[in-house]
Amino acid sequence: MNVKYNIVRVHRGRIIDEQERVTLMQLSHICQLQPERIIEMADEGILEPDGMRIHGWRFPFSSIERIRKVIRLQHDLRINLAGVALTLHLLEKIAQLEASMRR
Amino acid sequence: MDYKDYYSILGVKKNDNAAELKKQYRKLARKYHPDVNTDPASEQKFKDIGEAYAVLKDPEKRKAYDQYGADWKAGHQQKGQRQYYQQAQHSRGGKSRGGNGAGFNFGGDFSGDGRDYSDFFEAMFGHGAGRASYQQKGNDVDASISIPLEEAYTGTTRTITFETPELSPNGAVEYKKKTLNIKIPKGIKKGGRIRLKGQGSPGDNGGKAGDMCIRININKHKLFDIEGADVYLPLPVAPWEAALGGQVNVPSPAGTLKLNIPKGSVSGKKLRVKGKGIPSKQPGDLYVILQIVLPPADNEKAKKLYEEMSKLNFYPRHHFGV
Repeated sequence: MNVKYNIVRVHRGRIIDEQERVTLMQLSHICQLQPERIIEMADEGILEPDGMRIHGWRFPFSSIERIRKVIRLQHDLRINLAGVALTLHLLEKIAQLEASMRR
Repeated sequence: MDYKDYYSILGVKKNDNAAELKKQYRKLARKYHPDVNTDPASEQKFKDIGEAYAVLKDPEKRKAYDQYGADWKAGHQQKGQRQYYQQAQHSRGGKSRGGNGAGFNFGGDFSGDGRDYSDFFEAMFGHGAGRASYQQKGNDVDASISIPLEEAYTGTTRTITFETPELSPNGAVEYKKKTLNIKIPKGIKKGGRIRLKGQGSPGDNGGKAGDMCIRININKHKLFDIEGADVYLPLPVAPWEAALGGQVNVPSPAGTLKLNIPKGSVSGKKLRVKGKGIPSKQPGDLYVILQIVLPPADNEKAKKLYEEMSKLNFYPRHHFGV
């Protein structure tokens, strides 16, 4: 393995607007995942894109994080998609309860 | 380098069989998976469990560990033996890389610099031995950065380093270490992302390079809770401050604020300080939640005052009817 160092100048980050949306193909590219797998997740209700037809689907940026989480849970804990959907739902519920407990 | 007791990490006995190990590994993996367990310590725990299982489930590695692991503990490195073992690994080619199902390889989020295994593991089984086969493409950089809440208010700069595979002219894959200095603008919300133009994967066939997205985590704060761009502060107040009202000094991530407590406030009352949350595009608010704290009646003066108050016609259990 040949390691080269390559120091780059300061890059200015731009905050991604929450209103920004990505298409199925962009999401597939960012997550390195076949579109079919993303469609399966949407069918399971794990992802909720705007738009009626698949070609018009627009996903919020938070979908990237969610997809990665789904993949990790599937891979690491060997849960199927329905199981992941339930797991995510319960985790969100716990997070809500914990947040309301702190207040 | 610390010796790792893989048996105690997995909570199994030395003579437990493979089925028992698997059962125990699955149980612990469910418990400590960082996506399921929000305790920051769970991530390291999960990695340790994965490493322990990767060694113990492989009869060959388990044997080597049983035989030489104790010597590491005693401080003897058994160099000859170790090299012999590593050569044996190499001669089997890429085989040892693929078959690993222990699965604790995360895309960016948890693995950081990509070195999941401990120094102990590396010393014993060599660099890269038994690494999980599932790996994110290196050029799909998906980093996350943690910053304190105060820096979400002011903006800050961070440096990240990652390795990205690139094809050299002779066709071999070279790993290039890349360091980016990133300016994080003020106003990042909890779970927010920033975009770096042109720092993502290079495009195919001379296409434009993609963008790179970095997730910004805001560290847990000892005073404040964060929800999106809103910041919550539980504020202890004395009973008379709540009853009579008055001005108090309140900490905020942007500095101390003066806050008017309206008279007749009750415990749990939420006061909104508009625009003093995270200064994002739509600035968040600071919510101050009053928590009335009673002074202890541990001296004569306090006791007297409480006795004085007991003369008030105050009965908090009216609605019980008893």
